[in-house]
Amino acid sequence: MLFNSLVFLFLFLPVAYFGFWRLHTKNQRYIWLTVASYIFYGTWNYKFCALMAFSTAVSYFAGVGMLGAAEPRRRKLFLIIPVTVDLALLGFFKYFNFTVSTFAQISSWLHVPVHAPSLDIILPVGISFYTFHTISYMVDAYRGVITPTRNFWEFSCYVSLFSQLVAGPIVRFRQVEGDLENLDQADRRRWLNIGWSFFAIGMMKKVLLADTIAAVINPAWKNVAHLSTLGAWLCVLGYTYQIYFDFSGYSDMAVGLGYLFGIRLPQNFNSPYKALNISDFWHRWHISLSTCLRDYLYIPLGGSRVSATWLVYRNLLITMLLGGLWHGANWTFVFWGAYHGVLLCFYRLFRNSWDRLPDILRATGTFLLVVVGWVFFRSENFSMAAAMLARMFSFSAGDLFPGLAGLLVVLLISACVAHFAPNTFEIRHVWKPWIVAGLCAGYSAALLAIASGQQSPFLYFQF
Amino acid sequence: MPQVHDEMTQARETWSTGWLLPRVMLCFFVLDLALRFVPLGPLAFRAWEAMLRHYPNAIGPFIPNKHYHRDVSYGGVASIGNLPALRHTHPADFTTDALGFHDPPALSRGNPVGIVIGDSFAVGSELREDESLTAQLTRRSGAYFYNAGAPQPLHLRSLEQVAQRIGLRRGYVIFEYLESRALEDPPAATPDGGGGKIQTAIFRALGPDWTDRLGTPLNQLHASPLEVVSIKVEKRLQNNSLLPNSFSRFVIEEKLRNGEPIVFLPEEFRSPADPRKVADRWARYFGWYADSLRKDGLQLIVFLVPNRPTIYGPLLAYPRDVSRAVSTLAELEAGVRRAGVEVVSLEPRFSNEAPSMLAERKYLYLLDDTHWSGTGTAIAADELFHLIQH
Repeated sequence: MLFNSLVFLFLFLPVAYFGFWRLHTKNQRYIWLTVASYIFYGTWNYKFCALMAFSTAVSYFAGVGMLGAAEPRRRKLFLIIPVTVDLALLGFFKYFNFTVSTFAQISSWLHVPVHAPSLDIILPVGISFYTFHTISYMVDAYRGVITPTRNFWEFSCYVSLFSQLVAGPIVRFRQVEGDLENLDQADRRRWLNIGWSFFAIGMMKKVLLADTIAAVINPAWKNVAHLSTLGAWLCVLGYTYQIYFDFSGYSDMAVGLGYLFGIRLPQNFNSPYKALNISDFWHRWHISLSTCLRDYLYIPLGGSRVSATWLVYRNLLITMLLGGLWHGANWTFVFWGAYHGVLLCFYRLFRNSWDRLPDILRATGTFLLVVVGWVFFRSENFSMAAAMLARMFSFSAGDLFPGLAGLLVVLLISACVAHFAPNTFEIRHVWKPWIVAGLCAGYSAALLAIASGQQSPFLYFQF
Repeated sequence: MPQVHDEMTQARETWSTGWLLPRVMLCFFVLDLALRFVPLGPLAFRAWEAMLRHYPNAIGPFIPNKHYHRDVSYGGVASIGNLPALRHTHPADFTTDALGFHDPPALSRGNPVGIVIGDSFAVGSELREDESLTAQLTRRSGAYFYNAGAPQPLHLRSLEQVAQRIGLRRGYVIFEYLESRALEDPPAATPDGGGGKIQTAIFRALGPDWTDRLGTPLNQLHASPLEVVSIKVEKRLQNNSLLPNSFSRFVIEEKLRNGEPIVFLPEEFRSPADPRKVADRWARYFGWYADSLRKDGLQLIVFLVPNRPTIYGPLLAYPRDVSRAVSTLAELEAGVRRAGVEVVSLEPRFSNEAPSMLAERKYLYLLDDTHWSGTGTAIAADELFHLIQH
């Protein structure tokens, strides 16, 4: 079930919403949200509900176990076992075939061909996200940052909350703990305006901008070898804005839905294309992931407080490589992560010189580096990425693609919004009537587009 | 990080998102629901969608006693692919009788000697009214054949009702069976019913009366005029200049040997993996159907109609292999005959005639639609007439 589908908007959401506000106690609301979220999740593949329930139960009992364990070794055991279980599940479903095929490829390069079994594994939607929820919960509990909850329904509600279940933001327990604890005190009207405002803006970003761009560039990406230089740049720029509006649109909708149910979710995008350097970009792009990587990987590795400078670079590269791998079982994602890791290292090396450049140059330079990175992220393999880069930098003639006029218009709007407009967390969401009318018109246009039945899934669902 | 979390806003003002947006959704929902019960005529480009609406007292699937006319109509496949250049425009007329079938009163001649059931091919979709199979058969034989075509061939009980209402005591039931139906199971609520255990159990429990009664309103709710409008707008925008035509992926554009473009649906090319198994299953169904009809004094004739690619696949500029489709029809013909049911397959005759007609730019099927042409129905009527005569 997609947020941008009629069944979600006209059946699931109203039932979940009115049912939720008819209930009064915390537990009733936790249970209601949990059940609704499992139904939401089950519409993709009901069999994977059991997997999520298992992961939830393991983490819950680990948290409860930590509460009762005073001995450090026992506490550590309550961390290591469930985290291993969660990572094993993630590893199996997401990376098993990738690992096996990589092993087979390496062995064939070494002229020792090995028959590698390939399992028919379906990747459970959102597993990367809810696994991070449970792991962050256990690590935070172990570190004493949070007190694990004894209420199973509160925890299951946190893990499975439908608004952020399948594509984030990756919410840490401490970020929503307060709202969950006071769920029975939540006031339906308090965040109604802001919730709907976020939801409508997110919907418009996804349906009107991201999907329109996708309609033009997706066919062109299938035919990279025949693109002209201009066509190649338009394709890559198109993807740059598509992924931003797709994912930030989803995040806005998730935040909006959270508000509608009295739960405030954290910001996931802070105008990333306004970044002045690559480090700044990672403080603005997919914030919930980058902070997770920082807190649970980079800092435990030593972060920047290490004895030798090269260790900082090593930590940066490891963090970004694994961040790339988190996105998917493909070497192009790993390369994308490595590319950003190298950029971060370079920035650290030449920070003083870079920071002296005028803002416009820094912003443009950072944006172009990010754009080049998206080539690897979007490409299905390295040949495709190489072909696209070759078209971009070879000044070659070739085909332009149908729909160019529409693409240029949407790119112009997208660029204005991404580079110059305030983001959804910067605006106050107290609108003048004519802006509300405009929002309604845009939202109606999005609904009409959805009504055609051609809605596309969010890009980040695949991760 | 900018924070808006503590922004306390109230949703009471009319011009607030919290007040207005849910109401926009509610209006959208109510409008969509309400429009589903309004005829689609003004939005449709052909009779099928405009007329397909079941009325309580009618047995047929169309609005009873109604005449539909449109000056410019065209084929459904060109429309699905959003390919205006491939449209073959023609005027459309569609007249229904009191039972809700496409049986123009002007073409009826007293008591019928036979009834034609089947899908949109039997209905005469996209054809002039005097070109439908029943019209041609009536003209050819001099005896009146009633057109009881519907989106799905009628269930036995509905057929018996129609026969009773039109006064058919003894005679023929011609079952038009399109090749692509071999990919489906025989209908539920029959001894050999498919469609899943639960569905079959429910339909068997309810009986064939309710199978029809429940199915039609559900179909009606399924058609959303808002969806139609939305798709129309999208098609207008996706003109390959403003936006690329994403609808073209739903169709297959080909050229015939004589250079004429023809457009197919991908599913037209599909054939069952095991033709013999399929043939056996349908043969059992037709055996049961024929036995049931025999009790009412009616004789079943199964009439096998090939898909367009089965005839035109070998005649494309880049010919396609259609051997499996041909063998499916042959297996079906043999199986139905073994079940003791009269059967005639159009495939051999069509395959013979199509190549010579190609040079004259005459076609047995429409080039922008899945259905047969008037030339095709004339040959079909001829084949049927010969069978009935003998």
